[in-house]
Amino acid sequence: MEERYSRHYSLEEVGEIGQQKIGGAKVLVIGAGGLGCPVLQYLTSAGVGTIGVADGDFVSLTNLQRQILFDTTDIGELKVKSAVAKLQRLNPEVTFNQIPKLISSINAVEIVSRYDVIVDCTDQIHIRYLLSDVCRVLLIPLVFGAIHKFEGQVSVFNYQEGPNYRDLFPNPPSPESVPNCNDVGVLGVLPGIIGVAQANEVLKIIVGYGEVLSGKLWMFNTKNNSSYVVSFTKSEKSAAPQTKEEIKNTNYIAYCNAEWADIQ
Amino acid sequence: MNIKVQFFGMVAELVGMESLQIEAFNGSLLREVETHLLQEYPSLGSLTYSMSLNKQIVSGDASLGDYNEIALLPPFSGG
Repeated sequence: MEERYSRHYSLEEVGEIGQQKIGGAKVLVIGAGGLGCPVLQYLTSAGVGTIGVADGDFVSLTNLQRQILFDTTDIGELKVKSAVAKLQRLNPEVTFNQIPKLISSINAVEIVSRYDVIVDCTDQIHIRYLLSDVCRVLLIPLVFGAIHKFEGQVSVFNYQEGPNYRDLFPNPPSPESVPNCNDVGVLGVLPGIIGVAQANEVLKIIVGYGEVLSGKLWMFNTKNNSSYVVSFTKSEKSAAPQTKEEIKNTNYIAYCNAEWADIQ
Repeated sequence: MNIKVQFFGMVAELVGMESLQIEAFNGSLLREVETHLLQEYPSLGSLTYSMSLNKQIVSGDASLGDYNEIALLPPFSGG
């Protein structure tokens, strides 16, 4: 163990104690696509003790332009199965939980509550609202990443009672606002940059060094390498469900008017 | 006075630029600047976005001061 993580041991901010924290952490990555692949690779390399991988999709040829855990022989396979097979070879010390299904208001609380940190790598806006609500009710930090063509967003929600997604975007967007990657395209390296930034936030949260991107939204544009960071605070008025039961009884797809997002 | 407005994602695409300079009065409400932008770029009306003033997310009730940088930030859904 010591040799595998020797470069972490050498860092004053991580060291043996920090590495033990990483080894004891349970992280759930929701979505094993463009963002999920780099997040999973780096968290596995870093030696996160338990990693849950949730995705109900199968690998397709169009995924390979950016979803770097998969290769041509994986086409048609369940993403979680292909991903975990590779990740397990990368680091046999990690325990993986395969969750081959779409996260919904029915199963979210039960799945999420088993982990210390959640990473939002989904591509559907109603799941982003669902995860934000679940993590707020369960008091679990949520590392958010999202992409559009050449631009990305990263933030951390519910960290030490910090603000969440609804404090940033209180109202679900119109369909015109959030076109799907399938329709508008996405630069292949973009989820790599954004996903690695999410993995970076996860490690800071687990080990406890540096400054977590809580209450801040980092925007990055690959066209001109410009960064833009805006701050946001907890809003007093929130339409969010306040209990586990209320979450279970909420139809997030209807709430976000996001039926369009399910048609892929 | 001159203020800078930054656009991101779909907002930048619909407006056709990533930033512009507009004239506004000290003490104007952010909402008034937004109304002006909607008149210039009616297609913005179909989009959902949050607004920041000097890199802080605020409501339309915020009023402009001596220095103003406004941004229109839409959510991204891709992953």
